Amino acid sequence: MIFHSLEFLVFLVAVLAAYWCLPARWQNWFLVPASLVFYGWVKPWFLLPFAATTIIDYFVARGIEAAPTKKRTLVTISVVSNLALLGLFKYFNFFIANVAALLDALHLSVPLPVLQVVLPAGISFYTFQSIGYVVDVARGHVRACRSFRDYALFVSFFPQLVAGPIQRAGHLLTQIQRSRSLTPALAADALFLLVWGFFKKVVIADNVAVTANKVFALQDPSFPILWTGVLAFCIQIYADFSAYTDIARGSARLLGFDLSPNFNHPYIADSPSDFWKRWHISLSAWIRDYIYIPLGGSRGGTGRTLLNLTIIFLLTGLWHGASWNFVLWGLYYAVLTILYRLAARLVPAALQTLPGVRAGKILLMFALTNLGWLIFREQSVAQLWRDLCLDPRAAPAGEWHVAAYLTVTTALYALPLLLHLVWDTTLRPLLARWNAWPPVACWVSPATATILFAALLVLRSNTTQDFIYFAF
Amino acid sequence: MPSATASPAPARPKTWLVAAGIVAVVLGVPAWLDQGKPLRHPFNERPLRAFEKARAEGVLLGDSMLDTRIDPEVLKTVSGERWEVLAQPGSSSAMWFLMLKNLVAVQTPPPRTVIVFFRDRQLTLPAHRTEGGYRKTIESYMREREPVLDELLQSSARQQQPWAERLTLAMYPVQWRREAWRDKVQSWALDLVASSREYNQIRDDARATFELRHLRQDSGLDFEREEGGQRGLDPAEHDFAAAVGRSFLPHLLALARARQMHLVFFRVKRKPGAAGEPATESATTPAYMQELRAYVEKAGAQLMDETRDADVTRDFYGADDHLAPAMMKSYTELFWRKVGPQLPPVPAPAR
Repeated sequence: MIFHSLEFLVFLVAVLAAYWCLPARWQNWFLVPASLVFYGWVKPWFLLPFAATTIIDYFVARGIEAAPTKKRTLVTISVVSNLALLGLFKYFNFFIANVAALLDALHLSVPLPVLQVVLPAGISFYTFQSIGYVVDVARGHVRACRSFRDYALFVSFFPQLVAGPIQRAGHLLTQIQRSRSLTPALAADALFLLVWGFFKKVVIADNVAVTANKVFALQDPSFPILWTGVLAFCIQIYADFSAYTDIARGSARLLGFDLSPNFNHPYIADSPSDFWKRWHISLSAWIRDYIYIPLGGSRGGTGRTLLNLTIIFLLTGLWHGASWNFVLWGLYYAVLTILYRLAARLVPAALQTLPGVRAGKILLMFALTNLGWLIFREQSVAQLWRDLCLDPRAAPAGEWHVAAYLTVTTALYALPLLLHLVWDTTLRPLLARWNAWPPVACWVSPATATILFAALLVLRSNTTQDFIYFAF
Repeated sequence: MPSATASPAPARPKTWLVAAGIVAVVLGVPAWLDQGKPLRHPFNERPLRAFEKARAEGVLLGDSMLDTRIDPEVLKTVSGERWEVLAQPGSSSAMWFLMLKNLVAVQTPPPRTVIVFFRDRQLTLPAHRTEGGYRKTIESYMREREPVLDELLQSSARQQQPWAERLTLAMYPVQWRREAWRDKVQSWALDLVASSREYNQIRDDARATFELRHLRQDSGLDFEREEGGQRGLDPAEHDFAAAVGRSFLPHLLALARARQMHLVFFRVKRKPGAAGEPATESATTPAYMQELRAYVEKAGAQLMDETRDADVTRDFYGADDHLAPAMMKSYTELFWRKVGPQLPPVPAPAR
């Protein structure tokens, strides 16, 4: 089931009505099948790999607690089984295609099997969430969940199942294990998140996607047209993915749950590491805690740190998809992060605090992020190379005008993102300082949601695109 | 760690009332915003004047399938006749009906032959490409009163528009203004980058930049979906006998008959697969085509089906079902070699 469909709205209203009518002890019993209906709505077989992950990791975690001496073996079982599922559904054909290309280069003709299967939605999200739980149990950060029902709900919780945010057991499982309540303030906040999420999806992301898709369908785009398309994609992917997170958090909040945020205005990041603290926070935190730190983090000298950074960014790239452009994208961020670290050592600290430097760093990082999105969006490496070799002087004047027009159109659609940034970073702290926030919140959230909903009705795109992160 | 839930704090009725009130305000207030239906775009006289001037003997009507296939100059040369190509990318049967009625049939004398290019079941999908951004172009071909069009589109909307869409449109009439708001956003953008004298130039440049011939081979971009086109072209459940009465097909035939124009429906071949195999079609399509042929021929018109023509190879194609620009000339020549001899002979000039 997809969020921006009427089916989902009907489903959500029905689930909410039934959920709050039930006694608390029955609520988890109700949410598990509801989540499975949500997940298996279009393709019921998606439930099979999902069930495998849930069952294996439930028993592995219980086993770790029962026999701590075997925890290394048990964690390995969990990691291997989850990665096997991911490898089979997500990376098998990529691997085969590359082997076939290699054999072809060696003039060897060997028929290789290709898996004709759709990637189960959300598999990269729930496998990581489940692995995280097993590792947390092994580390003693959380206790193994005794109730299979509660654990199944932790993995299947429908608001965040398909595209995150990836939750930690210490955060979500503990909420599952206690009773929940809803207050008017929470309901207003949840409603705002839902409307804002839908607005970002159908007004911002879907409208700018028209420009991005057209530009990336051109055989030989000129320099200005290409970068207009990249900017449109930059806005699209942020609005699209953060919309999913907001709808997920809003839906969860209506059920009395709090999901951790996934974004913190990533386009005001001033360095690559700052960007990854603001973009897809749940994934970067997961990779930091479960891969980077176990690898030694930055404790093993410069060479080791650089190697660790390269490994985690390559894995981040590959997590997004089985394609060389994602590998390149990961590598690009590894190189950027390393360069920024080196530059931070070379540039005197006094210089870095000069007025205007941070603004310059944000602008530079925004430009570099756009270059990253070009690598991310362009599926063919040959086409990417052609794009990077474009000469701005070769573009006809007419195309610069068209690019300016399309850029301004994109910027107009993106304006609410800017207003949200100003609100979050300037106005809200100001109100909080005056102790004015709680009373103001009572009317600001519903009033803003009303305006956004009206704007959504008149500005929504004619076309609906799937959420980009559904593909991962 | 206990897994059983502790006793809940029961939600108080007041909490629910406040929450319901908030929902009612957020969802209810926009329902009061009703600016009425937007004004219709006026009939565009320019294409009519241009067509009158051309004094065409034959006309080709169609969407981008025609636009990317037939080179008008090459056709005039190979046929030795005055053929006019009225290709409107993104058009469908509603638009072809309007073009035939308001542009072609009003000529004196009318063109002798009209060939309509179509794909699959387009002729019996009256609502195809009539909503969203398409509506504006349709209106530019509409006269003040268009009872046939209004009736068919309303009936189709009743039948095919998802109930949810109809419900939300009824609940929130402000949505009638969506196209007007889209135009406003584009106008604001133009205002910010150009003077009013440059508007048309920028629009023309934008159209030229994204012309189909500039697309990557197999770009995968479904412009129809991008531009809000509705419903697939080859729906398996779409039955000819049930659909024809509510389509523009009988009206196209009646118009042609009334003005003694020979009408030909030309079904184009969709892009073959990598091994040259024909594009996939639903199992019921052959039966549909048989019924269409019988219906059209009974009304004195012709149906030509290119889909099994082995001479139209994959090499002709560019993005999707559109032809590569470099192949237009050779396709036009091939088209005329095959279609020309099947058309009724040109009557001898009266003595």
